[in-house]
Amino acid sequence: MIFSGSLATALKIECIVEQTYGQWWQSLHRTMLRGVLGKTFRLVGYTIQYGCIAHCAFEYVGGVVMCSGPSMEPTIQNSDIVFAENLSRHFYGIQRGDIVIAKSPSDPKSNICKRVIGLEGDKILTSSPSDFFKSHNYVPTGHVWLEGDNLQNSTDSRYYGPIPYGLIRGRIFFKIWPLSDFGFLRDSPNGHRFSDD
Amino acid sequence: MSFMKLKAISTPLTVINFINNNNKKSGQWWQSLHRTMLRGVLGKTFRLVGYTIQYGCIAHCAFEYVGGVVMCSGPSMEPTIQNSDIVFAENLSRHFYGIQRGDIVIAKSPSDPKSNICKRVIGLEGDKILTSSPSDFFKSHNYVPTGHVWLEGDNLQNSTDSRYYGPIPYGLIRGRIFFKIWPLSDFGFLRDSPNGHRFSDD
Repeated sequence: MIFSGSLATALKIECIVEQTYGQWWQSLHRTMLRGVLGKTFRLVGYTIQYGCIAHCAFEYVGGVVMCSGPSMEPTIQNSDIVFAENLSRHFYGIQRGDIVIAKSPSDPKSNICKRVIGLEGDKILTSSPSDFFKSHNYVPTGHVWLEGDNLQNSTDSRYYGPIPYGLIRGRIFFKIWPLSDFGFLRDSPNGHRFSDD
Repeated sequence: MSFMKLKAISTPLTVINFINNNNKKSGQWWQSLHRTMLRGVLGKTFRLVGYTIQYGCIAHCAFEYVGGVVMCSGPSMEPTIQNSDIVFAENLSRHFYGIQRGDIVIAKSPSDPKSNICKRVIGLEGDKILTSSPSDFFKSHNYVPTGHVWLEGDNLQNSTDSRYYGPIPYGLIRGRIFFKIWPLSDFGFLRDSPNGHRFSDD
């Protein structure tokens, strides 16, 4: 009798302990889950917030760009790091002689980096300098004529024609790396191409 | 006598001292009030500017990466989209390169970078486009170059499109229109092109 009584009491105590323990565990889980969920949402919220601000800063102000390819030598070598600003594009202040970054007209996923030779309405000399009969082209409205500084090794408007102004992403104006070439970028080595022949 | 003189001198001195002290105190009080007000106003201004920039950036990214409401003007997409219709545009297809034939897209105009155009995609890169008039006897074709699309308005008689300025680079496309909101009589997804024959690879 006493044995069963104490057994029952022991069971009861065990039940109560388990109930209390279970409740405690549940509330701990709920708090932890809520805490973790809350922290996750806060983290995601902050990431989206600062991601948007960073994206707008890169798109409207400027950023650091690494160029690759030989088409702008000697002004910009392969693997140089330059500083690009995106304000000129939005205020339509791109001028002849500027080096611009633009979306490639033949591949929308990649960017190209060339110098602006002519704006809309300009007369561009399209024949080779060795030709006897010179041929000209006029740049249509809303387009620009781009050429790389390394004329022998550059796929540019001489190949795919003038590109619409809307493809221009930004203007490169300062070189950061390598340090031996730190500073503002030089003018075009092919100076004669600017003359309105 | 001297005592009286002293008192006579000291009283106004005391009074002057008192006034000076009061002035100093009120001056300090005024200065500190100004500083607090200025700091408060400056602080509030900076906070306001900060919030504006923050939410402006988020709104801009939402419009550019997700989509937004657009009002179209012009007769070049009739009867699908009339003048002053309000439509819903999404910008995700462009970033995932999911624009297909028959989609109505918004793009930057190739002849005027400040304005947008709204046309239907007739051909993607590599497609053969029938460029001659249907009444011509000898048909002429053009191939759309890589990275370009061929756009035409639904209202062929009154539309300046790729038949005029040629294929445009894919990079000019801003978004895809897929739903009309206004007028309510025409609420819903947009219809297919009324000029169906132009899609056939002739």
